[in-house]
Amino acid sequence: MGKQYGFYADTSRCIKCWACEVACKQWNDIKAGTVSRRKVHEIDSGTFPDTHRTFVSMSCMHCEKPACEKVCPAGAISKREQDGIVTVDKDKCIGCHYCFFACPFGVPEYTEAGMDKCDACLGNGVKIDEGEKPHCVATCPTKALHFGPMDELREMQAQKTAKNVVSDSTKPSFIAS
Amino acid sequence: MVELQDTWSWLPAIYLFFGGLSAGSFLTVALVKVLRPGKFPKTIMGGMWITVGALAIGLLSLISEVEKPFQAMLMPVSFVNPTSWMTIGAWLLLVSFIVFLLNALCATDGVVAWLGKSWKALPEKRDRIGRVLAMIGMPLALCVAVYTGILLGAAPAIPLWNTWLLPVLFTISALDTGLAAVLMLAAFVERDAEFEPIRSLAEKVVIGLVVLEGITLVAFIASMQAAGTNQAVSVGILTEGALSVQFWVLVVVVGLLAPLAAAVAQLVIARTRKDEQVLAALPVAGGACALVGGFTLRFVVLAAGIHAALVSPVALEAVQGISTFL
Repeated sequence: MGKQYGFYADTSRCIKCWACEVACKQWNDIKAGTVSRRKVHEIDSGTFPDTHRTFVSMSCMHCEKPACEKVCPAGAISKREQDGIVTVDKDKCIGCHYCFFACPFGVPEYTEAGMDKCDACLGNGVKIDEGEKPHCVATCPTKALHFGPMDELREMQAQKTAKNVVSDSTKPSFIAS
Repeated sequence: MVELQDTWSWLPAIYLFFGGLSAGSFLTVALVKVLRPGKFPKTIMGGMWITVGALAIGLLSLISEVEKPFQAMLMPVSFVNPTSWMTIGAWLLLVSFIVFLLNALCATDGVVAWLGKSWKALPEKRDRIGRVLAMIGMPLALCVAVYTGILLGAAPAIPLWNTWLLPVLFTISALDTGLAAVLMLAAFVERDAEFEPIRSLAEKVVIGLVVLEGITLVAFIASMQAAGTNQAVSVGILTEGALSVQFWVLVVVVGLLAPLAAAVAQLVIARTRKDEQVLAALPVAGGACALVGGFTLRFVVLAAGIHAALVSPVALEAVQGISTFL
């Protein structure tokens, strides 16, 4: 397999402007009121007056060992050899919803066309292998969201307290700091 | 307030119930057929058709749940990934349905007579063919019963389902509801006096199954409560949350205690005095209660199976752990 690509969300830079969500919906032609491939979550911590808000933009984590791929009866989910991106073949998908029950992060959502999730913009023509970035990353005004080979992302954040999102079972390709 | 699982609607619960009922009634009828060859043709035929009808309803419910049912019916295209339990289950269900249907046809006089016109040897070979078909069907039926639990048990992100106790619980319930359905049928159609010993043996089996199911249910709940926050929140929906009335009244009282009482009462009455009306009514009442309990059990387990990420967002927790370092 080639390099594993993934996302890195720098929570110290995110201002919760939702530009990534909007770009995702625009470029992937997602109808209003249906699915959200990318979501900005807010986490409140601490107790008043010592409170803290953290924003983190999350989508499919393109796991090294995708649980969704394993349980899909139709073989509609596959992991690309060259970049490790997990993609869905909607023609093959029968819409049984089984992958939602397997994914530790509850990522898969569904439309009449089948399961819908982030494909790192491969479906709308972004050329990852030529260094192009998914639209959520390209549009982020504060440069809080990054995309690239996981080793580069780790290196980029070596000085920070970046950590992988941990799941022993699926090994997500996602870093947050 | 914890919301219920709604990615799968109530349709799969219909399948979980009828799939189990089908398997349980097949095992009951096939055992009678193999152990007492040539006896009780009405109960055998009726039981076999219950098996076929129940599985047909279950499969239709299951296929109606997916977004693209017609594509799903093209099984060689849609069920191809061997690492998925759903693939294994789909093919198992297809083969089982065919075998159950052949069993039912073989137990139906009209069909055998009609086929006998062109295949002269069939009527005399019918008993042997019937026995072979029953023997082939029994392991399949057991697998169908176990698979109802595996379908849910193999979903790693649902804390309430991801345990081997679920296939055990659903299998026992499958045998229980299947036996109840056949006993109810026999109460209406079976007039052969030789069936009485089988009926009283079946009542003892019912008592055994109910006790076993009760023990498994207690183990299931206790293990969930002990397993961790996610599991405890999920099982709390059943024991004290939104589904607690359905759970305690319909699953525990109606589904377990009432059939137990009916079975015990029947054994006692049969021994002390021959009150035929009561004897005829008890298996029907007890059986109906078992069916209601069996269905509700599938419904509440399905609805309470909330996703781990929604119970306590794992990913968010991880990020939260990091944010404290900032």
